[in-house]
Amino acid sequence: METELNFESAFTRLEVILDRMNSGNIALDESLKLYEEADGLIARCATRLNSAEARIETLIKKRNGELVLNAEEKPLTESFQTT
Amino acid sequence: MAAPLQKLDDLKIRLDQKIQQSILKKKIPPFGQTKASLGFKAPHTAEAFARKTLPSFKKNMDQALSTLMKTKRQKLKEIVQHLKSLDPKNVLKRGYAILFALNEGSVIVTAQDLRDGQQVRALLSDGEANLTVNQPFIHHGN
Repeated sequence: METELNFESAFTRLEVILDRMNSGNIALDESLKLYEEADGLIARCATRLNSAEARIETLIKKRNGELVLNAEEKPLTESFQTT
Repeated sequence: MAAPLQKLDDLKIRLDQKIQQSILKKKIPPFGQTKASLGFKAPHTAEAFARKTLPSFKKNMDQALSTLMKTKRQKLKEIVQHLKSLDPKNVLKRGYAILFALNEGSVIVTAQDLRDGQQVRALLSDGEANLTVNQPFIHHGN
């Protein structure tokens, strides 16, 4: 379930955590747990953003004819020829 | 009486045939001619329209995507900075430590929670250590 969290859901959860931690009415134990959770959510958000940006870049390059994709939508590569 | 009626029937049949023939002969003019006949002086084909508008559409779409990604990244950056300022571990840099009960993993806040000989884990600004509690006592009046 957690692995399916998209950017928006993760970000919304981060906002909730931030509000909770800002409230000033939070036990140290809970704040540590929330901070750890936030750490994971931040990493997830960053990964989602990076992958979205990479996808956009690939699409633009593909559209401009700078990139040829294989059946798996991955850039075609060629081995270096040793002569 | 029969002759005039027969003539009328023949006339009707011929008239129907003529109408059918004229419908079949009638040609539908090409789209361009229809547009021209309707007064379009410079008719644009769909292709020409697409050629003209597609590049700007692509550009606008790219810009919209770029703005969206920048906004999301900026929002994430702001929330990260905010959260960093609330990091409970910031206090450790000021000479404090956080004690955890070794088995439960819960934070020990009061001396009442400590038992003689208990193993605890201390979290410091740059690392951790296992400690053994020795003769805990409570400050009365606090």
